[in-house]
Amino acid sequence: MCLLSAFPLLENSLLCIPSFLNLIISSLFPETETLPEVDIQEQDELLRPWKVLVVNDPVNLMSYVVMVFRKVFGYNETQATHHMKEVHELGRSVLWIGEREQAEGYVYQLHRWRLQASLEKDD
Amino acid sequence: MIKFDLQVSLSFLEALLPYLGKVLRETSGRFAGERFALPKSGDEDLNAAWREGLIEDGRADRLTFSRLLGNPKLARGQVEIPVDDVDDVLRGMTELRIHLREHGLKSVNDEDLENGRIQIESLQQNVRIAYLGYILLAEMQERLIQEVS
Repeated sequence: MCLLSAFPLLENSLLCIPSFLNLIISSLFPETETLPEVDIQEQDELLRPWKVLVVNDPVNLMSYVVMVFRKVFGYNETQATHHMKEVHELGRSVLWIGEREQAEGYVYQLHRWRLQASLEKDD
Repeated sequence: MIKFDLQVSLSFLEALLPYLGKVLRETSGRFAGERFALPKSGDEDLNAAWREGLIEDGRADRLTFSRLLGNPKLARGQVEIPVDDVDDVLRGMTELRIHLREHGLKSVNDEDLENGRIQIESLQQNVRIAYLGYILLAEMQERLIQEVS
């Protein structure tokens, strides 16, 4: 995202080209460390929304899955049951959408409870 | 302390508890979730830390669950679990159920297992004991979840 997006007239200008912007910043503030492009991409990736998915498995009891959803996401009985039914009937359910780091934390917890969880980009 | 009685015959427990203890020992150092999708397949360090973390957590769950299996009251159908151990025990039971599903019950299809449409008499001896262990664990889990809800 362009740093100048708050200024609509400048948004499409040369200043919005990252390398050009970096050049200006480094000439104005020689000691300022500019992030390499790859880090910016990585940051961008981390900030994009990610989905926490749970897929159906034949082993876990419905009551167990509801309990885990309540514990991990703090859902109430109705919300947790809704997601459990989605998993059971549709094969999968999106439990949460948000930043990657937090999504990873949720997936880890779900794995710890031995549920089939994964991360997916929210396109 | 969570306490409840299992509605199963003592001879059933007498046969199954040593079997479950044996299967639990077989799972030592493994984690049933190894087939789970890790979040970032390209990042080997993260994957390794993730896997190691789950194995370590799984070890703690199994240890707590093995204490329950070793409690002589369980052989009499009495379940007693300290409140702080409930989560570990529930996860330990799941670990064992997944292990049974993937090994002892490999020959049974998912649908039959989920619907309970299985003729016990038609199963081979080793599959039969795995199935009964699988059901006993489900019964214990269900009761435990009811007790803590």
